[in-house]
Amino acid sequence: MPKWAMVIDLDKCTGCEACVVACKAENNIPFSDPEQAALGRSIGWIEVMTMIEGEYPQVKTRFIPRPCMQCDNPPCTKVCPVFATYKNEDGLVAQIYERCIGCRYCTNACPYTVKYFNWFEPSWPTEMQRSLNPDVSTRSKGVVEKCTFCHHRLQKAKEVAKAEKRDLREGDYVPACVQTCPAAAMYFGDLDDPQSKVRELSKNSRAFKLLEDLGTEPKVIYLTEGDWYGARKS
Amino acid sequence: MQAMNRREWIKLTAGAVSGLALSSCTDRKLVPITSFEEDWPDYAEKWIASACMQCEGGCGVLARVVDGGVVKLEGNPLHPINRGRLCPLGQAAPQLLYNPDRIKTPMKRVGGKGANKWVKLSWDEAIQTIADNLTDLRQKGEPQSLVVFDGARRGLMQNLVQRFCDAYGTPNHINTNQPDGMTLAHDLAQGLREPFAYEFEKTEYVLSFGCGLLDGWRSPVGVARAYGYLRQERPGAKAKIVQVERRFSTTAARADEWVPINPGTEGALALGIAYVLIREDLYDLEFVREYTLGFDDWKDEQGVTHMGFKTLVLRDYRPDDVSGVTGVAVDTIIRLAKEFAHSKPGVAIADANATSFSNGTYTALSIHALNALKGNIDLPGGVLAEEPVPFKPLPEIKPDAVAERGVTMPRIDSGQGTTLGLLASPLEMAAANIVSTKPYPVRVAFFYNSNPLFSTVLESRLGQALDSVPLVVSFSSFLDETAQHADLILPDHSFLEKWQDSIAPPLSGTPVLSIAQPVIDPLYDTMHTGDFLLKLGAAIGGTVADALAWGDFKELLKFSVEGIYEAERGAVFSELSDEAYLREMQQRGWATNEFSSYDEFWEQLVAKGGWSGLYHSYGRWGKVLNTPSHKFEFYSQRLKGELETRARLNGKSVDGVLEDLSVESRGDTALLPHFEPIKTRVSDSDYPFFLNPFNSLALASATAANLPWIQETAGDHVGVKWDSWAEINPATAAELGIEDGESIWIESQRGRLKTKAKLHPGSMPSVVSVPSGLGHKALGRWAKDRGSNPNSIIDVDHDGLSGLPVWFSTRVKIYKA
Amino acid sequence: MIASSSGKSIAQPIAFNHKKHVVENELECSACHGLFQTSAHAGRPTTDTCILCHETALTKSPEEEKVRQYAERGEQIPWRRLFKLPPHVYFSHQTHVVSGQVECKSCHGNIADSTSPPSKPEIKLTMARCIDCHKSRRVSTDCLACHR
Repeated sequence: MPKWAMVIDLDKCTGCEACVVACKAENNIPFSDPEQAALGRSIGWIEVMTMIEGEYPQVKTRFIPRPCMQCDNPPCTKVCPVFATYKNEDGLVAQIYERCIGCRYCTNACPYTVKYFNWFEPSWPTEMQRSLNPDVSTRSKGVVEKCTFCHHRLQKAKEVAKAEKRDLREGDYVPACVQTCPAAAMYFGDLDDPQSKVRELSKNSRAFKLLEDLGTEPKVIYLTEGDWYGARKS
Repeated sequence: MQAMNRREWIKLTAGAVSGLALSSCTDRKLVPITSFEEDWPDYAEKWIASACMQCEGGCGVLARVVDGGVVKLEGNPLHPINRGRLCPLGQAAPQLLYNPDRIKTPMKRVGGKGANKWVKLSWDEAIQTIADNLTDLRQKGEPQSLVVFDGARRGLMQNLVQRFCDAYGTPNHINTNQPDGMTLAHDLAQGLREPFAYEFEKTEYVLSFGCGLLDGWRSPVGVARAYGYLRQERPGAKAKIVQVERRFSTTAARADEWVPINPGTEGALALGIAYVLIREDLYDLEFVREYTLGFDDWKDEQGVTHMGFKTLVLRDYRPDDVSGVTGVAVDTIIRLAKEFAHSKPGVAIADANATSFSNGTYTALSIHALNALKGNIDLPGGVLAEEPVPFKPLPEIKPDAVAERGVTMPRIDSGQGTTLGLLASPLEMAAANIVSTKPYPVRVAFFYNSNPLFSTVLESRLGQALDSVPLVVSFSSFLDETAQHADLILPDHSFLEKWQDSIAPPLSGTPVLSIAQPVIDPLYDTMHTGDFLLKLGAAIGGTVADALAWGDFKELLKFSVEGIYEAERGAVFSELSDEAYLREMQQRGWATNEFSSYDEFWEQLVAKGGWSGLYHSYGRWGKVLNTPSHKFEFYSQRLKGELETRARLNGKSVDGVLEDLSVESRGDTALLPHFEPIKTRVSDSDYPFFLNPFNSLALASATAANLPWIQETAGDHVGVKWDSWAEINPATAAELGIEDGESIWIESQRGRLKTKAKLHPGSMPSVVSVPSGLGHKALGRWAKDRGSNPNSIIDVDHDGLSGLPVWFSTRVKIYKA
Repeated sequence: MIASSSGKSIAQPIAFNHKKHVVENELECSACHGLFQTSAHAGRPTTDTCILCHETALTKSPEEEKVRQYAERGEQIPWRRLFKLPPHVYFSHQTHVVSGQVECKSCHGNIADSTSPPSKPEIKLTMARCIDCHKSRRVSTDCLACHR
């Protein structure tokens, strides 16, 4: 089985938010209104976290795009009472919306805060419903949703490969955020494939993972030349 | 099927939490009720190449069209600007196309002007009404009373508007996208009134004077690609990016070094750097000697001695003096100069962020002078001038006597006989002249792709002007601030519904033409404004109709593009390997026409999304040094000529004109790059802060504020959604007793606005920064009354020399709301 | 139960006779459902497709005349969907029919033999039915394989 992984090069990232908006467009993510947003109820499966440090004029801003880490040892799945979230056979942390009861145990268990509760009933003006992605369902109020590494794209890529009677190739399956990244700061592929770009980059001396000490074994790997809050680097 | 709610469901599964096996899914009782798809859509899916028109960047897109709906845009992988990638605005384009606030039919005003009450109108009625009005004006011999405010980007729509104006007989084709100071510097020093092109991929050192490289400048995706490449992909030495800016922008944050600088002193810093280069012989002696005018002291043909740039710089811009003005440490000035000098190649760049001050033209000249000292004009990685797209020229028009006379009338925004605007025509002048009906009254005004009542500081003046024009026509897709003052609104298609071309802003010397084709049929009863102008021309008849004899804009586009086919250079977008091959062949002088007919070329051009010039020929001195001396002119003869012309027209001396234009220096200095302090109208103690209305990528599109995804993400870096904010230095805020997130008033002499304080350690203590692009009073449900528009309190002021508006020197005070 | 849970009977705009087309005239399913071998969706026959054969009357059936009336008005025939899936189910015809070699009738029953449009699906598609088939064919029963 492939080990799908994302590599994000923070040295290239410009914090432009293209990944964030691409994800919203691809995954039918409902938009908030100002009131809901003020309550912290906006949903963004990937978000650009921004850390501003230092004092004038010695200031530093760090942008860190943060999708679901698709942990190999996910804390969120262990607390789900209904098997709505689990690690699937592709190694992806799935969220089955129709099973989810909205208890939000998983949102609390996730140390990366990538699980989002639908506080309001998603709705789109009639005109905008034409632009919903038919490959992805819309969720309802009261369930938790999250980044799937655009799993529907994997499904489609597998179908194409199967129809062409071949294995998946590098580049067949790429999540929307990675595809759009203007600075080409995001990479995606199979960590177990010795030829893959993500494998090569994961061995880079700049590589680190977020909160690795928790034992979550994230499959999102970051690259940076600098220090990252004492993160372990090889 | 038995109904079950979630509560019952959880009861049922309680106790079986850990053992919940997959097979239990199969119990039909456990499946909750859901809605079912009732209709049977046609799921046929297509990917269609087009171009993004959210900003001027001209990225290529592939639109995913499912069941007739556009569900996603991806970048066109073949497009040389964006190579398959898109920015947040491009990704948000479906929210523009399917925006519920789009105007769906032509509309006519009922009730008073600006009352914002409308009734539907047919296109035939609309065309007839306007044609009647315009024909009437021509019969009266007053075609100049038509003014077209045109925000078209680079491409054929501009040509069509110009042609319409020429054939109709008005000189008043007013481009609302004014050139920036750097373009004027290009003109004054090199005789080219066009934006500089840069090749970041080949550059080793980028000395940016506030240029918003990662803040929405030109083609944001193209720049981001170059940035990523410079950061981690380019083999060999890494490029260094230095951002000199009064705000800790995204560009500053992602640069190698941020140099905060006192607002409006960028030119002084450039000259301080020039001082070090000259003093330490770190400039390109050969280039300066062979290809420049006015570096050393010199004698003209009359034997008059003129001061050279060198003398001026060594006299006035010692680093310690410059440090006092700019707030940049002496050590830093010297270090930057040396780094810049030793980089191969390095460029000094800027945009309106540094030049929109009262001293902006001289600032631009001073910054560009660094490129001349470095001798990197039209060299790889240096400062280039882009080659034009070889469109086939439109056939010459044969205007009738009315039109011929009309176009020779003075423009309504002309600064002639006034004290304003030697090099560009300020919109303010148009507004003032419309109100005063001098030199003639304006009867009809068109607004295409522009919303100056929001995007300029002239809201009330322009509003007043418009209300005095009998027929105002807006082609806006939204009821924006300007459209609300119109009499007729004739909505254009959205960009995914129409034929368009877009010449990408120069990112290298190589031209890139994107072709946008409709990816779906128009959703509403809208019309391509190009088609409208052609129909209008036909309705007016006579020589106007003759000049506009294309059936629709697509025909005009296809006509013009044939010139590219005939030029047999460049290539339709293609795979990198094919592109490399074609480039190699053409550089060796081979024509590489791969198509058997123009129709085949056109078909491929549309299918692939456009055409690129493939490569740039460097060192075309004859072309890029287009001045009277055929040299780079430190001493600008072009500026001298303009001043003398104005002096003659106004019956004044050159010194008198300089005084009118609020230029302090006289004599040779006035024609050389130099620094003049910016003018402030108020005292520091009353208004201690500079208001900095900054540009950002997210809000680079005029309608961005009505896109919910943009409202949700534009302020993410400071934790704000759906609102404006003001970046304030934490120590400053502490002195004022303002806490993070608190509501504050920002007050200028002109007015005040309310927003949220965001304490930001990257804020200079003397500067408060507010994003531009929010705070609409109209436009749509998501834009209206969200945030504050800094334009509403910015002083109406100009760089006297250029006539371009000043954006960044408004002084304000801040207090808790 | 997955498909057609609403239980309402479905009336088609035209009394289409599958048997006449598929059995008597030996048309392939793909003649009208043009997408099922290459896409997730089977494809709804467009009026244009019908008109390929029915541009001039082949029979005296008033139902056939309706086809031409739709075509004249430039309208699509508003075929109703008989086999419906809830929006959270992802199902690909291509994967099942081409890669999995599942026969149409495994899910759609004897629709090809019907002489008038059935008002209800002959086979009720339940999740249990899907899972059984997946298990017997040893293909994935991962939730994400079908749920989106």
